[in-house]
Amino acid sequence: MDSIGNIKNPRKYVNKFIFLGVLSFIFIFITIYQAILFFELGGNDISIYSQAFIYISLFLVIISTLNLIYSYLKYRQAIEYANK
Amino acid sequence: MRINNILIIAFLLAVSVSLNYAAFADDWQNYSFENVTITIDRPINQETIPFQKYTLFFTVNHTRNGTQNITCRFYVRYVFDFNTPTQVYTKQYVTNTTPVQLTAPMTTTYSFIDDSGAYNKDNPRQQIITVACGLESSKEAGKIDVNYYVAYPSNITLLFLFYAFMFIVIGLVAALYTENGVAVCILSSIFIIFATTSMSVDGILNAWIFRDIILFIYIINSGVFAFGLYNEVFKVEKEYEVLL
Repeated sequence: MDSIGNIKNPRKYVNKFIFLGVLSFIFIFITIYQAILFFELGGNDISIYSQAFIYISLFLVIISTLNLIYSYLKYRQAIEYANK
Repeated sequence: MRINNILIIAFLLAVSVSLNYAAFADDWQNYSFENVTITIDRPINQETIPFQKYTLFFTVNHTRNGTQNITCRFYVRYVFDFNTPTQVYTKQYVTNTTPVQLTAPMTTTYSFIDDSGAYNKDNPRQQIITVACGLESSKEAGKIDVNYYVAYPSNITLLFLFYAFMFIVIGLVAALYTENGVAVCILSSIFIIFATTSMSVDGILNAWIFRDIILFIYIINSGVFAFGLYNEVFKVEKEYEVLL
């Protein structure tokens, strides 16, 4: 049994959060690496790839956080249902 | 004292200090960035300059035919303080004079790197570049004055950024030790929004470095927020498993 009422275990959203969180960390490190590499090569402005990676990182972080918020709300809903 | 009370006091203190600071720092609005447009027919790439080393590309349009020598001179002038405009630093650059075969109309592109390091000397607020180009065998010459306003955040922006960073650190500590980092991250989000607005007022949000700093702060803040929220999820997950 992995559900209370018709609310299934929201663990999968937590797992999604962890997966996307790790992915966003990887993108953040790539961004930093790109920026450092670009400056070492004598660039005066951040490269277009670094900018793209920053936006991708931000997008992933937001999506992963939304997954976490959703899982939290689902857990609360399930607990309230069970207490009734 | 509960941590929520400490947070409320810290927030009120921060708002109070900010308001007082804004009331007395009456000069911060003067240092706004203006994207100056050139009205003459020789375009120059306009951009905000956050560092002293940059490349300036410009084109010379002329109507001459035959072999000509083109000489360009760049005068870079840094104004260190608006209150004392005589306090300036000037450096001249001269390009190599090379004979080129011209066909009219023609566009020639030059690049110029300012590596004088004057930007870091004394916190200059404004940079004025004068470009003068001429064809040596004729009287045809052109002169361009470009005002570059050096991108520099105002004190109030720096203050908001400081608060944002402070609350992010407090949020991380709270998430690690008290499992209550969510509220602090919401506070830091408010200050990040304040800082972004203030940067927009300063006119420096177009400069890539400040825009990317803000984006990085957003990412870090979201990460700390998620970490704090994960503690809450962990707690309700335990409760959920007991009920199962």
